[in-house]
Amino acid sequence: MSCSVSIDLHEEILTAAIRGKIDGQSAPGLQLQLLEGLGSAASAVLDVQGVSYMSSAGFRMLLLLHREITTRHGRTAMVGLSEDVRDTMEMTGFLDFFLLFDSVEEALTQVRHHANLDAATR
Amino acid sequence: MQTLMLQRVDAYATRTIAGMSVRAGRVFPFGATLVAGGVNFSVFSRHATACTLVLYEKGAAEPFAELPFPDEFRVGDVYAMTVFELDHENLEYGYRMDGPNDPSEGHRFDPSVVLMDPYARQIGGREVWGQTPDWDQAYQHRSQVLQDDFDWEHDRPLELAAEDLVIYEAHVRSFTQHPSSNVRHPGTFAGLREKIPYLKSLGINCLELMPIFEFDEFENSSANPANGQLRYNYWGYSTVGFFAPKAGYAATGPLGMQADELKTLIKDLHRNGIEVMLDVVFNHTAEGDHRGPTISFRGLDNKTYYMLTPEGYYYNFSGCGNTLNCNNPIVRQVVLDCLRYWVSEYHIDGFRFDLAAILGRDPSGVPLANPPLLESLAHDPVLGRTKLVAEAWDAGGLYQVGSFPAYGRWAEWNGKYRDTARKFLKGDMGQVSEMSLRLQGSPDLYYGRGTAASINFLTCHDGFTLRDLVSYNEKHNEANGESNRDGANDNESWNCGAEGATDDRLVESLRLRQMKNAATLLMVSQGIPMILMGDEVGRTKQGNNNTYCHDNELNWFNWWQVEENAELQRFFQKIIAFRHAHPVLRSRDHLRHADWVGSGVPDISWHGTRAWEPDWSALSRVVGLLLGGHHAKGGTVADDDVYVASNMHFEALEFELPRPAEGRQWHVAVNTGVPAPGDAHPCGEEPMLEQQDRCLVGGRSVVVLVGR
Repeated sequence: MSCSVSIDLHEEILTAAIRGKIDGQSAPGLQLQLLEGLGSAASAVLDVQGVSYMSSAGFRMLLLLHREITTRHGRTAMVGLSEDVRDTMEMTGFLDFFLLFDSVEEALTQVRHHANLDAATR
Repeated sequence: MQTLMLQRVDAYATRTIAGMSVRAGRVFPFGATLVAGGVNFSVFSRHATACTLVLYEKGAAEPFAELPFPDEFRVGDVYAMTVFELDHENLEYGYRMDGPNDPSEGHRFDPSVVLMDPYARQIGGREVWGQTPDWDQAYQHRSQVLQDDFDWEHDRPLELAAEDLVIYEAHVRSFTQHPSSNVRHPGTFAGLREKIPYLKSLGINCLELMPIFEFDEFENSSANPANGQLRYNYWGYSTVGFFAPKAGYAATGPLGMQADELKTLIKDLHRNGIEVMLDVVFNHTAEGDHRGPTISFRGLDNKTYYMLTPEGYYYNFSGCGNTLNCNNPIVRQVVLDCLRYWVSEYHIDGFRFDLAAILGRDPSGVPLANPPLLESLAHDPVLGRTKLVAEAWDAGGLYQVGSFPAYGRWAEWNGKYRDTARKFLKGDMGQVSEMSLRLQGSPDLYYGRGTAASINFLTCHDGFTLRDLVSYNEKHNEANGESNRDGANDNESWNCGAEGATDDRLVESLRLRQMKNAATLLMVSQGIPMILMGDEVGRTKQGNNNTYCHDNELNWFNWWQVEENAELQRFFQKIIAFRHAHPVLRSRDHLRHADWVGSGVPDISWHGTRAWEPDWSALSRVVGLLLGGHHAKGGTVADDDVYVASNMHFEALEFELPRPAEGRQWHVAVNTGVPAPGDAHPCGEEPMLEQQDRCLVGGRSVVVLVGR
């Protein structure tokens, strides 16, 4: 497989470090792993620093994950998006759906902060 | 919560062909569609005797599989097959069609050629604009499979009232290709998206894009004898695939994401209140005449798709070699499917049909009284709120401005507006009477169809830009390499005293004034105004009135001119804002020349240098127009009165003014006879006219007053 993922669950937030290429070949398997890893968690932080290439299928897989997370009132954050991938996502409208951060720690802090705010307003 | 769904029985293959797992496919929809576990392929041919599906890896010279359709995979004239376990992202496909090759009977089947799917929703082979194709590759325009699941969120077509539109006609590449554009991806949908704030600040609310269906910029490309540069099929009025956006217009074309990039642009334009209208070319295809390439239709079913002479040659009502057989029921369905697809899948707001008179001809070219295609489009449920605009003429001499079969739906590019306004603007005699018709939405042409049946314009991609209209008496098309023989000769232009560029300041200031006059006349006319890209900043094509082949400054928008010609650009902003601010300029129905709300001022009335005495004589060059604000939008909304005094005489004239409605006084909104900032005042800040009963209007100037 052209892509691997290591998964961790921190206080209702999935953290997934993805490496390799996310394309039509690898996206379906990756999606299954991420959904399983998500379990009953509400939000996800995806560390994509190690992702060298993402195709249309890759973006769609991430958006599908985000849609699942939205039904749980969670947030989807991405960390370490390369400039090229970010540019493509910007032009094709995928970027709008995700929160972007430079580090996993920062992403976790912000996603937790959002979750607390949501809980307070609910 | 995850919901478990029972898998479909037809998600399993029934047999193997050429090593691929397949089953009999579904005939609808035509084209390649993602289905459970595979891709469904469906293609029509009435006269073929056999069909083979050809599969490639992306960009590969040779196919990895060829799958002949078994007999039981054909239903009627449709070949359909589902192929499983395909990596659709990395797939290209085509068809080989066998059948008679007898041109005198209209058949040109050739199974040695791999054909593009006419329903292909994504097409490879020209992913990067201008990148020289590999001509050794046999299969040039390559059908691909599109995952069309874009997340539109809450977007939909805007459905703005047609009479409220201000259209801006632009070319995707030309808009941002110039180095001055400062966008990250020049010449693309993404580049255009970066310029939305500019369009919004200009005030337009409908962007009409010159062709964006897949075309081949290298079609008939050749070195220009004038300068050695390559001449392209630059504008793109020659369709390769009707269902696919031009890949070379997307920065993400090489990633196969052109559909997402275009949809993101459209979604963002909608978010900013701007509709999207597409210029569509259904009159002919990129296959040319019998000497042209076989890309798709010719090899699939020549006799169905093209209008053929009794000898089997191509009728040429388009001037481009062939004519699509639009009123054949099969072809009619292709056009309908195509437009429905663009409206439902891309959220397109309207279409402008290139050489639309052709769409009303029967298979032998005879104009029909009740053309089935035009009727179908007018009554189609999916297109029910879509704007339909006809270029109501063709290259075969059929001219239908004012008589295009409208079915209460169709609007037209009003060629007579363009011609009359140009003549009036340059001070021709004998134009006042016809100009008054054009100012009120051309009731002589469109009475009963409403003012919005008239798309008013002075300039469009064909012909001079506005700046060139006031800078050249003659066309200067030498750069096209045809010794200035191409392009129209009747431009109704006037150079204001010097041909082309000049440092004569008097000439230059007159040109600026004439451009402001043109913009003002356009924006105060009932009907839908259309502006050509760049006219607001004085874009020049150096007197060339037919720049279809130039990928250079002759077509590109020069963004430095926004600064250089800031006075003109600000004038355009203000006059467009003036139109938006005054519903009295945007009546849906034609005006009645009566005070039917009892306001003391008729809905529309005409004046000359004496109030209430229009001068319709042949020698006259003046017209005064008064619109009664209480009649705005059929008397349903309140507006100021608007008075427009147009003096196209070369000398200043004093106009006696009609009175505005009781309790109102005249304020000066626009006076093109004075330099900025006095030429146009922001709405609400118009200074009151000192003498309320008269107004001096400079030579070749327009004054607009508001009564409030």
